[in-house]
This record gives sequence, C-alpha cells and structure tokens, in this order.
Amino acid sequence: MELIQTVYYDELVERCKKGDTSSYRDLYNKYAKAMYNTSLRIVNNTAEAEDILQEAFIDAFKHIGNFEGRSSFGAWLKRIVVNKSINSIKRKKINVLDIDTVHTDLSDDEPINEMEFEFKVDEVKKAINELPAGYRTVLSLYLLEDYSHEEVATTLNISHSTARTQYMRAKQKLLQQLKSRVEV
Amino acid sequence: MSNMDDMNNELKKFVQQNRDEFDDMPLPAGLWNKIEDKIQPKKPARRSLSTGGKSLVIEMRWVKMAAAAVVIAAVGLITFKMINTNSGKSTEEVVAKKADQPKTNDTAVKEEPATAKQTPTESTETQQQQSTSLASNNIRKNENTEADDEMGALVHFTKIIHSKQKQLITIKKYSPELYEHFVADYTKLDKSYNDLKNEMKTNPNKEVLLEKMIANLQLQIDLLNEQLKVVREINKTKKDKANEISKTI
Repeated sequence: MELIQTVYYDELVERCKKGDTSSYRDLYNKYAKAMYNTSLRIVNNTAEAEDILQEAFIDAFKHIGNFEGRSSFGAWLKRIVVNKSINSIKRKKINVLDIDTVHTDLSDDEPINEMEFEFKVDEVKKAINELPAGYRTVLSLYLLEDYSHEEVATTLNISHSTARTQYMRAKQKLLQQLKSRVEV
Repeated sequence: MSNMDDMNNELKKFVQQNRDEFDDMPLPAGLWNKIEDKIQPKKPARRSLSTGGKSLVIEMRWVKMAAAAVVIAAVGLITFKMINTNSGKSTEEVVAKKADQPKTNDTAVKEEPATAKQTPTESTETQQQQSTSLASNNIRKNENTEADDEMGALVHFTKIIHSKQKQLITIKKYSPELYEHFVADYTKLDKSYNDLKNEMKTNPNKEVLLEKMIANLQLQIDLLNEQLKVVREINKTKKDKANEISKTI
C-alpha cells in the first residue's frame, strides 16, 4: 500500500492550463507518435487511428484543466486513446472475446516455451499485427502499454481471471506464429 | 497458470527493453493542423489576445500622427503652466519667450504660438487642447486610479471629442472631400474603440481594457486636433492669398 500519493508535475501541462497555445503543440509533438501507434495496434486501421488520435487530443486539451496529476500526463492521455480505440472496435461489432473459437484450435497443443525463442522486434511486431482483434488488444495492453491484468480487465469490462487467461492464450497464439515463421 | 506466467515473462521483458522500436509507424501529416483548428475557437484567452493585437495594429497606424500631436500638446502644456504660475506677468511675455525658442521646419510647432496670438476663437481652441493634455497627463500619473476615475475620464474625453467634431463639421461646406477623409480616419479609431468596448462584456481583464479605451480616446483627440490644425492652416493660407491679392491690387 502506498501511503504517499505521487503528484505528477508537468511544466508543459501547467503552461497549457495558463492558456499558452504553443505548449499545446509541444504536448502533441511529445506524445502523438506513441499514441498513434498505441491506437493503431488496437484498431489496426490507419484512418481510424488518425481520427481517434485527433479526438483524443482535442478531448485532453479541452479537459486539461481537470487534469490533477494523479498519473503522468502521458498515462492520462494513453487511457483516453485506449478507451476510444476499444470503443471503436466495439462499435464495429468486433467482440473482444471472440477468441474462444480460436482458442479451441490450440487448447490441446503443448504450451510453447518462450524461453526457446530469440525474439526479433520486426517478427514480434508482425506476429502481433496478425493476431485477431481481441487477442491483439489484450496482448498489446499488457505487453506494450504496461497495463496490469487488473487494468486490462477494467478497461475491457471483463473479469480479472478472464483478462489473465485471454492474455495467456493470446501469447500462445503469438508464439505459435513466431514458431511457424522460424520453421518455414 | 500464474506460475507459468511468472516463469515465462521473457516476451514481456523483451518488449519492454525494445519498447520504442514498437512505435515505428509514422504520424499522418497535417494532423496537428486539424487539432489546432478545433481547439482554437474554444479558448477565450487566445481570442481576446488576437483582437487586442488587431486593435493595437490600428492604433499603431496613428502613432506617427499622434507623436506630432503630443509634441504640440506638450508645448501647449508648458505654456499653460507658465501662464498659471506667472499669473502676475503678462501672457504676451510668455508668448514672446516661446517665440524666442529655436524655430524648426516643423510647421506644426511653428504654427502654435502664431495661432495663440491670433483670433480669440482659435485661442480658446488651444486652451481646450491644453486642458485635454492636462487631463491625460493626470491619468498617466495615477496609473492605479480606480475604475470609477477611469470611467470619469472616458466621459470627459468623449465630451471633448464631440465638441471637436462639431468644430470640424464647418469645413464640410467648402471642402467636403477633405471632410470625408477626416471622417474616414476618425472612423477607424472609433471602430477599434467600439471593439474594445464590446470586449468588455467577455474579457475579465477590465482594468487593461479601460486603459486601452482611454488611450484610444486620447488618440482620437490628438487626431481631431491634427485635423483642426489642417483646417486652420487652410484658412490661414486662404486669408494670406486674399491679402496678397488685395495688396497687389
């Protein structure tokens, strides 16, 4: 238990709150690329990710006065981007949990031990992109956005244990793809 | 399951170590401009700044003219003060002293003592000019005056402006073109004044706005003084010409 609440102080954010318009641009330049890639990993569509990024920044700037520094500005912004991205794929009726059918395909397989891999960034990236939307989302949030399983569960509105098993299955699927790539 | 999760976190480790390389997709171009367009009109601070800048530009166009007028007003103020303090001495003496000052090519400065001597109507005008510059000087001195005082100054200046505008109408008869010119110049200043006035409704910084409004009115008075001077100059040359003609005849 943390007894001391960390307050994040961000000079750029403070300047934005005072109405300094150039600081808005600085904030955009600082975070836009990472946020765009975050959104892209979930929605897997550049035009959609662009719209989401635009909306997210406008929302963040509009409500920057309410930002109290309970997390870093980057983490706050990321939450907005992730939520918008997930809403976007939900709207397209992509069930975040449609992966159970995929799961049956590999449930009987021996779990692949990740120790035997020598990961390469390009290969991992490609394998993530080829995952079904549900797996890709759960895996991205945990692996790349540093969400805990609890946070993934809350964000996707699923139970804690489901979030955990979904991640394990997503990872198995990923490793399977990586392995097949090596074998080919 | 959790046991396996703990054991096999090689992937997570690997990703965290190479985290930046995963954000490799380049940003779409022009996205910032779209965002900037949407956030601009929603920020009142920025809007008031830009209109403030606009009115300042209009004001700046008159700075040159106003500068000349300020020189005249200063000369007038000095005369006024000297008359007040040396009330025992004759005003003629004061005027003579001023005439002794080195003459410059600036017609405006040259003209000042001459008009003071001349017709009675013109000398009242000069006095009015002096009282204006006195009032404006007082405002500048007490920069911390209450808003009430500033509102008083606004009323005072507006009265002066109205009386000067009435004087200016007289030239409409024999030079409507010039009059139109004058009115056009004045209207520009008046417009920026009204812009400031409208901004009072939305801008919380009333102190600064009031100061700007007063400065604008001072410029208006300066401009009207300049215009009246031009009228006087025209009248004078007309009279001189008439004199010359009568002499030659």
